[in-house]
Parts: sequence; structure tokens; C-alpha cells
Amino acid sequence: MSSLFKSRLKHGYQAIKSVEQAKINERYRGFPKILTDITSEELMRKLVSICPTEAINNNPLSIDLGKCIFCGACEDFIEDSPIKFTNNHKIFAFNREQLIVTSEIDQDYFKRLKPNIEIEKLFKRSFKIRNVSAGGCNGCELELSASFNVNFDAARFGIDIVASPRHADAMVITGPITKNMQIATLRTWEAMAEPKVCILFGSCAISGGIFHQSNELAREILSNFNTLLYIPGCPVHPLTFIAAVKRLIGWGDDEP
Amino acid sequence: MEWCTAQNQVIRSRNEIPYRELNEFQKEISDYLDRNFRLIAFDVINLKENEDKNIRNLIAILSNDDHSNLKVATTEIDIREKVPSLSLKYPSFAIFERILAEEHGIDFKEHPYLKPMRDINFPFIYPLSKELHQVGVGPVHAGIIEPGHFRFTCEGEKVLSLEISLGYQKRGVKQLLLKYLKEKQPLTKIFALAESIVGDSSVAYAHLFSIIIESLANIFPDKRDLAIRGIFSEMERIAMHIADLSAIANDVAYLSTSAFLQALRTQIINNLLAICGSRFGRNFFGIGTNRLDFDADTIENMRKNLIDVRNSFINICDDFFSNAMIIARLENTSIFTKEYAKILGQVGISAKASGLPIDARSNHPYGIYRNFPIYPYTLKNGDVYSRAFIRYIEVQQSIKFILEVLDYFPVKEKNDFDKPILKMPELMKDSFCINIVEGFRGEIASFVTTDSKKDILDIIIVDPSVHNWYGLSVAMRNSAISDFPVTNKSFNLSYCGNDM
Ligand code: SF4
Ligand code: SF4
Repeated sequence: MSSLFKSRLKHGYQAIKSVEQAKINERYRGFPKILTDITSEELMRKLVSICPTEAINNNPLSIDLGKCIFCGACEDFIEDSPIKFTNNHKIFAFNREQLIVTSEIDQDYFKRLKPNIEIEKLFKRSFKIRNVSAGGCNGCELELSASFNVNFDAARFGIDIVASPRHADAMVITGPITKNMQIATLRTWEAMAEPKVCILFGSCAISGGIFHQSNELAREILSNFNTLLYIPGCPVHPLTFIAAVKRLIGWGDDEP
Repeated sequence: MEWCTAQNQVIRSRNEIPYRELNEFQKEISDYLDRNFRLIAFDVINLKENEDKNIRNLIAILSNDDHSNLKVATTEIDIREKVPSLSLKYPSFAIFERILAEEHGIDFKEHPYLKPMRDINFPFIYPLSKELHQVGVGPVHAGIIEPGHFRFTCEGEKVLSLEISLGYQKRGVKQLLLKYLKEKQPLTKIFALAESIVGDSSVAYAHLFSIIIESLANIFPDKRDLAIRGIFSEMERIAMHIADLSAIANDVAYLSTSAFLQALRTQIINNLLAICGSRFGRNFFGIGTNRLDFDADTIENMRKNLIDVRNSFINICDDFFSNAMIIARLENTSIFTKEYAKILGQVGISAKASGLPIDARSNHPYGIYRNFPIYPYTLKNGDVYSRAFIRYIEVQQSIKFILEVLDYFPVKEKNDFDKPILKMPELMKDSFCINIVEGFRGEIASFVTTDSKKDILDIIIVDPSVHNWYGLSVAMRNSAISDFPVTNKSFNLSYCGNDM
């Protein structure tokens, strides 16, 4: 018994007090700043060829965060690289095109994006989530469940995981959607009551990520879903997930 | 006749793999297995370039853990002919034969149940008795876990059989990897893919790929880099074992322990984050050296952090494992005996909890484990309690290991590589190499061959889950169906590692 009390005392209060103020260690790769898009052909070619997921495009230089797996190769292995990753973890978008970062995009760009106003009215302070793992490597699944642990505690914002799609407002897809998960994913969506939204969690779900060249994927089924939130990462950091869903359901920068 | 003896990480010529006629091959396998060898891998491998379409080379890799040696041999089969199955006598072959039947259409005579491993539409065994009922779970589960289907055949509450149907996670990752290796894609890309084979074992897979390519290319990294790799691997093990214990505590509704352990896991993985920018230790390994070195602050912080984690951890587990309610709930739940563990070829946690000391860190040491081997502890009971307790012991072992390595920490001597190389190095031609690392679930084994043009010819990767899923089925027999969640957590097997 005494060790239980000792553990409890030492445990103290673990939850991050303010998820809005929280900063991730500076080594973390979040928002990539593109310093300049004036680069030589040679450098451009190197950047494009090193990227494992074809996230980098030229003319002008851009990174598609929906494809990027934040491996840092384009920064660490290229001399005089114009790409610099920052630890700004608040990266998410409400439509696919918003995920393309160019040199004109600044740190606060994602903060200024506005979600669909209807969603905010419907779900504020109560947002129930059903996860469908569809070929993910278990990295995103672990980070999604970490969002609900004692440290991140997403439940304080009314965001919660439910066991049945019947109770869910949102389907969160992790993984690139394999052919074998096609039917299960569609059935989960069908089983959910309206109104419902789909959230793509991680670069695999958004674009196929590191598996984009696999021929075991069935990504075409995504067109059946009402996707309103795209959260990049490989895996997504729990703070990114919480910040993103908070914006979607109208918490904005507020905290309880 | 003796087979070719190989060691972990040691490169040999491809011609040294002895060829046997099928009947000799099978007979010799049975001789070895009767002499304390166990099966590591049994698969089709591309050994010759430009092969006949119907001819396949089968390879078997066996291990004698007491003497740290591995045996390999190969045989040739024609897929149009039936092949006698080894599964009835040696059930550890059953899974591999099922995979071969599915992927290559090999028909194994007398195999008890040649169900495809990754075909989700294959029907289940259906009980004929009206006394029995079935319960189906998945592929989408109630929590946040990977997809898989479990079909229980029960008599009342008692589970008579559990049929596990996987394949939902099949992304063709092995084919993709082989393609990237053959195309000589940048190594950062190969590592990124390798780390996503099983994302909760990213470090173990990155470790495996670093030693695969380094052994094939005769690259010897500095001791200090090897030490750092060992530290990373143990950090991953600590984090995942703590997560598993937290999940077990959660499943028996002991929520205080579950919450304390969640916080501890965060403490460990945030330490990895502070070193390499990823909570899972990704994007850190490389060929020749690692992407970063440890500076004095890193070492000091890690030491402090680990001592702190150890104190909390021992306190938390002291309460958990001595709580009478917990003991009553976990002890003798889903017993998996040593005999079963042995004939089913179990590895990792489920082997150790059932009394089999199988651990690549001392049986087939690699990297820094050659200097600091970690010897496995075993328990005899094979119940959920033992599988949980083994994790408790291993976390402490790993912390001790890291602290020791940090104390000894060599300075960097050679400066061949100040950065990991980016281009695929030149490999030895016509060679093969077996590489084994110990992930937190158990051994991850690989077999790679190269061709005469110094390119990679073929690769086999065996995740520990491939062996161990079968163990979960057997452990569930005669248990109550309500024991399944906690039993499943005590095995904690990988779906994507099985499906690839
Ligand atoms: S960090 Fe992103 S953009 Fe850069 S190489 Fe990696 S995947 Fe490509
Ligand atoms: S995005 Fe990355 S972490 Fe997430 S499932 Fe895909 S590979 Fe795994």
C-alpha cells in the first residue's frame, strides 16, 4: 500500500496545463520554413530526388505536408538547404490544398485557416471519435491513443474515443488504406449517424505517405467520405492532433 | 551431412549454402530440430538469377541458441508437385507453410489447415455441435489498435478454439523494400520505409537494416556509434514494455498503475525526442554512423531521467505485482506451457515467460551487445502474470544496461564517417548474410542475398509476431473469453509485422 501512495505522490499532476502554450522540444520537426525559392537547378534536383515521398516540388519550391514524413533528409543531407524545420507543431488544414508550403507561407499561416462554421455549431464541446486503422504502422495509432493519456488529456476538450461507430461523430483514419481494409472502412462510415466527418491522421492517411508506391492500397474509397480535417505527421504528435481538432470544433485558442 | 554454419552479422559466399534433395533436406531438418535447434525462418528465396518459373528455392534457417550458431541449407521444389508437410511433426513450420502456399502456390501434403495467412475472405472453421457458439471480433476494434479478426468457438464462457485471421494490414511493404533496395534509392528512404514496417519497433527495424547493409558492405562503424544504437534499442524496449504493462493494468481496471505508467512512458519517449526529434527514435540510424552523436548534456540528462524512471517504476510495480487482486486476476490466466512454446517456435516475451531463454542479445549478439550481452530471465508459469513480470524485469535490465554503457561510453576513434552515407554502398557480390536483432517483442530475423552484379537479390524478414500469433491462439484454449483482452495485451503482437 505504501508504494501506491508514494507513486501517487510522485505522479502529481501530469497533464500539460495549457496545450496552446505548450512547446515541443526544438529538435522536433514540425512546420518546415522554406527560406528562399531561388535555388540552383542542381540543388533543386538534389532536393527532389532525396525525398522519400515525392513531397518536394520545384517551380516554385514547395513541400506538400500531406506527403512529407518529416524525415529531415532534405535539411540534414543537403548542403545549403533552403529548408529549415521548426518545432512549430500546429500544422493542420481543412482542405487538401492548404497543406502545400511555399516560401511565402509563414509560421502563423495554419492558425489563420478557418474551419467550416457549421461543424463548430454542431460539435462544440462534444466530439466523439472512432478510429479506423487501415494499414498504418501502429505509430499513428500509438500517438492517437497517447492524445488521451494522462499527459495530453484530450478528453478535457470534450474529444473522446468511443467503441462503436454508432456513437461517433468522426471517423479518424490512420494508415494508407489497404485493399483488405476497404470494406471495413466503408462499413464503419456507413454505420455512423449523420452528421459525420472524416479526419485523416498522418501522412499515410492523407497521401499514402511512405507506402504511396504500394499496389496494395485502395485509396479511391476516400472520395466517399466527408473529409474536413487533414493532420500531417509521421506519426502525428498528440499536441498537433489536439490543436487541430480544437480548431475544427470551434474551441479556437480557448482552453477550459 | 552438416549444413552451413553461419553467425549473426557474418557475411558468407552464396555458394556455401549447401544444396539438398527435398527428402534429405526435410530429414536433416528433423534431425536438427530433435537436437535442440529451432526454426527461425523457412521461406522461398531467390538464389539464382534468371530462374525457371516453376522452380523455387526453399531455404531453412535453424538456430542453436546454446551455441550461438545458425544453420542454413536449401532445396529446390517444383510448385506443380506436392511437397510433404513438416507441420504435423513440427508445428513451428505450420505458419511458414501457410505463407508459402499462399504466396507461391506450393501444395503441402497433409498440412492440417492450409489457410492463407493474409486473405481476409477465407471462411472460418464452423462448429458442427449445437452446444457451441461463435464470437467474432474485428477487424475494427473498440479501442485504438490495428485491425485483425478473432473468431472464438466457445462452450459457454470457455474458449475451445481461437482462429485468428489477419492480413488487413498488408501493404506489400517487403516488395516495396526489395524494389527500393534494388533501385539503390537513397538510404534515408530505405530507412524511412524500414522504420514503418512495424512502427512501434522502428528502432529495432532501423537497427536491423543498419547491420544488414553494413555487413554486406563490410562497413564497421565506430564503437561509440554502436553503443548509441544499443542505447536507442533499449530505450524503445523500456518505452514499449511500460506501455504494455500500462495496457495490462488498464484491462484489469487498475487505473492508477495504468496512469502512472503512461506518464513514465512519456518521460522515456520524450527523452528520445530530445535527442533525435522523434518520439519513436525515427530518422536517427544510418550507415557508417548515426545521424547525431551524444553530447555531454544528452548523456547527463539521460542518466538522470533513467534513474528517476527506475525509482518510479520499481515503486509502481512493487504495488502492482504484490496486490492480491492483481495476482488473483493474472496468475494462472491463459497458461502457455513450455512444451507448447517450444514446439510452436515461440520467441521473445512469450518464450521467456514460458521458460525458454531465447534472446538475440546474448544468443546471437550483435553490435554493442557483443561487449554488453543481456542475458534473458525466464519464468516457468507461462501465464499472463509471467508475461507481465518478464517485462518488469526487462525494463530494469535495460535501464541497467544503458547506465553501464553510458559509464563506459567510448570516445569516437575512427573518423571514417562524420555523417551517415546517403548512397547505397558497394556490396559484396554473390553473398548471403543472416542478421538478427532483438526487438521488444522478440527476435527480428533477416536473410539477404546479393547477386554477381553486387546488387541485392532477395530478402527475407521474419517479425517475431509471425511465430507468436499462433501462441496466442493456443494460450486462449480453455480460458474464459473474458480473459482475452488481458491475454492479448500480455502477448501484444504486431498486426503489421505479420501482414507486412
Ligand atoms: S522531410 Fe519531408 S520533404 Fe524533406 S525529405 Fe523528408 S519527407 Fe521529403
Ligand atoms: S504516417 Fe507514419 S507513423 Fe503514421 S501510420 Fe503512416 S508510416 Fe506509420
